[in-house]
Amino acid sequence: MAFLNPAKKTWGISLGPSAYRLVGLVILLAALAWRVNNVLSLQSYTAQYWTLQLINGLILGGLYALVAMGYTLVYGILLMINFAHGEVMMIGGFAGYFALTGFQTLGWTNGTPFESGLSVVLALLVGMLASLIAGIALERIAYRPLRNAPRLVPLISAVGASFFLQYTVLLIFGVTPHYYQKPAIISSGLSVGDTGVFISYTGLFIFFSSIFLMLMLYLIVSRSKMGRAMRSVAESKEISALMGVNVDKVIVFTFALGSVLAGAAGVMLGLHNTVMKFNSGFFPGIKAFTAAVIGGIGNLPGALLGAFSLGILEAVGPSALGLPSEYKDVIAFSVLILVLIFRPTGILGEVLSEGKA
Amino acid sequence: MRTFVSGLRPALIVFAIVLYLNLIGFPLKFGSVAIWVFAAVLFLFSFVVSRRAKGSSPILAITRSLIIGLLPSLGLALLTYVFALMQASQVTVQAVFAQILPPHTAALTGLTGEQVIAGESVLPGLASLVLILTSASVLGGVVSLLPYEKLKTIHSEKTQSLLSTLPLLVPMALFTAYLSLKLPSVQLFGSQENIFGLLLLYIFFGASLFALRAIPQGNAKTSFMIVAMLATLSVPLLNDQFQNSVLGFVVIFIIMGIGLNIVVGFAGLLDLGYVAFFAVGAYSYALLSSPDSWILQNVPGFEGVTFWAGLPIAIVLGLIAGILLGIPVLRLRGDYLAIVTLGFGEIIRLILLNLREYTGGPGGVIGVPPPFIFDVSLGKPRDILFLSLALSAIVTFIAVRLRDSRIGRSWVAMREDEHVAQAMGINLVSTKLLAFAFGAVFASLSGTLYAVRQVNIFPDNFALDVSINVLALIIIGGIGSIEGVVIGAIALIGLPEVLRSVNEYRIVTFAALLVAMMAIRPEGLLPSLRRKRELHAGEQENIPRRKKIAR
Repeated sequence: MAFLNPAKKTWGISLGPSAYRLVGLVILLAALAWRVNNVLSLQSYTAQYWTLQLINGLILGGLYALVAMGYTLVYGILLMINFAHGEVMMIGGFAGYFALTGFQTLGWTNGTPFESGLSVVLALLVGMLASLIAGIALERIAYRPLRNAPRLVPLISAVGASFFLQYTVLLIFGVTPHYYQKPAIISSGLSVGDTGVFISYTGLFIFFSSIFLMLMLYLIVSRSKMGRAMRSVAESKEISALMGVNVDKVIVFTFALGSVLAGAAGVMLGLHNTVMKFNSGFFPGIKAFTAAVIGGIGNLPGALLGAFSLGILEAVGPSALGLPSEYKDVIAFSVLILVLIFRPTGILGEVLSEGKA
Repeated sequence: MRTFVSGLRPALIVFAIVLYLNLIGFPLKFGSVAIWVFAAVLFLFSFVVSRRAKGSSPILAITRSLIIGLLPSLGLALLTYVFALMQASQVTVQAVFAQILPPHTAALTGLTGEQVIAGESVLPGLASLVLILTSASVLGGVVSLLPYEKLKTIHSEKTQSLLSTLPLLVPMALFTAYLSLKLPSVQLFGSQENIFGLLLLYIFFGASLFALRAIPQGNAKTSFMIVAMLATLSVPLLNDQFQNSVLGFVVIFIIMGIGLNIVVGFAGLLDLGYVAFFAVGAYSYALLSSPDSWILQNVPGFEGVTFWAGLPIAIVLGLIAGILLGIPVLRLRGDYLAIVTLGFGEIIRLILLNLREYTGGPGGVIGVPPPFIFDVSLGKPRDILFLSLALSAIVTFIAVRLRDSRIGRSWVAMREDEHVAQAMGINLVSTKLLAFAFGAVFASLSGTLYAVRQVNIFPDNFALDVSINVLALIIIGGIGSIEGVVIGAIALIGLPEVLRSVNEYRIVTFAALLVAMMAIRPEGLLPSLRRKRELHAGEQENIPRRKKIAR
């Protein structure tokens, strides 16, 4: 599994041997282009509209990317879909909610810019911490006993854990939606000149902090000793163990990394949607997993690419195809299916060996 | 000191469990019974911990169980004390913890909600709470010291032969108990009688399946099978409406489970979007027959189809959907297949939800007509149960014959290794498509029954959790095992319907059971024999246990 291992990168785009699929792809693209052309000639969207949609897509992409990292990290090492990852994110979102509500009673969220900014950063950290605990407990209880089991077994355990976490949160914190208190510093926005393009500070915050966090992740995976151990475990657990890598520790560390990112994403999701519910993590989690698969699962740059493409497609796609915006999920899953048909390992995916496919 | 440390870890775990039960509102729901639930948890836990740590001296064991009891109960008491103080000073704790209302605190301290708000001292109540919980734990430690080894007596041959008839007698006894509940003179459980009847039936079905597994081929088995079958056929006539309705639901899921079992269990193709075919079946019959549907309102002269015409149409449409999904995903394997099928299932639901003009959108399709035989409506739960039973018998027969046929063996071969299977002359394309097609047909069939049972269907009935439920039920039952599907459907679909009174807790309970089951018995309750051998392959061979390398 190539975690940024340069020797294994396969950047070339190959569509496989089948000429039929190539013909199918060409026909499909032509049909899509025809449809988009038709829609655009009938409905005149302004450049401002497209810019706004693109910005939305980038914000959404940043969120998906953070969650997708967790999926891809765990998949890269354990070859397992961590179905409960979305719930780990939701738990982070809830922790962030309680932190922000606490800061509001202290008067920080609407206080001086420093206090307001501090409350955002602290809420993010609280969310990351809560998710970290949830993620590590999840690994310890639901996944570690199943390390050597057939592949369906941990998947079912993950599904069980996902429902367990959702309904636990429902029971403990109640069914009512929890509305985020947006700190003053990120509640307004920025108008770009007189183009009418408006960027909310929340969006900017989400985009740049997700980029920052992913940069940190990249540095950890590619530069640190633990990162090297992770890459080696991803290649082969047996040989890494023989080389003196503590495999259990590496796996816990991987879960911790993914969960911390998911926690940050949870708080950002809360700020973005202004509401958190017990099932708020499920669908974004599935979307993020979709993004990871589109990019090529087990591959960090792939997850990033997949997440941003998915975010942008979801934001721009419905209007470009002349469909109501409820179809964005249909578009996302159709893109997933198409990518997997024409390039089964994802956009940046390596050629999987038999055991891993 | 070492006793203290050895008791600390279990104490923390049991504290987490008690805290969890407390926060999800056991005391609020069950009143002071919750204290005894906590006591039972502590008793069991300290019993198990003591039994596991063999060979420790009695004093050590009792001290350990004291720690296991004392620390969690003190923690719980402290927490309750803090909550009580907050509630006395009018702080709304439920803004964070939704279940911590004054009656919750009251239930743990033996007061009433008003007394808690008035600020009455909770300390005496908490003291007795700590006392009860700690003594339960110590009791567990003491009981664990009893000499159990001496209880194991050597059975004589006579008792042995008596024991071997037990699997046959238990189901009979259960069914008799169920029958006796039906007698007009028996008033055991009052209004809860039908629920207890259903529970007895569930255990009867489960015990019968285990008995069929346990007893060897022969006259006894054949006659038992006939008796059990007759009993099953008499059930719809004996049941009341509620019982029949619940059982009908279970049987619909059995049909679906058998279908998914072909796809996942036999052919090894992990399908997370199985609900798509269920939806195709339900909607195709509903749209062709309901007076509410777009087709009936806009096609002049079309009066709608009957159930007997709608069923084959739904099956054919399901078949087409199965093949349409099958073709693009032929090349995918494992987790990729899982995620694509998941996407497909969601696409179907979203299309049903958003294609408002034709499918009714979130409003669904209302008034699906029941089947008729010569103007006699079969819309009652009893008739639908009979119909479902008949169809499920056909489906089971097909599935068994498929499993033991050439196709079934090619599915298994393909599941184990595609390349070897191909080398042995198996046509992968047609074998995979057949698996998808059979799965889709069975799901579509059960979808049609579901539409009839529900009368009104909505896109939300066909969400992802149905797929996951069906997958979970075949795994609980034992993947690849047909009897397992029945057990799984009873456990995952039937039991929750009965346990409606503790509705809030059923999903967490089943989710936790799913996780625990995967760790303890991954092959399921009634595993297929082949699968059981695979999962325990390493255990029979006498390989010395090495430190497991993670995989």
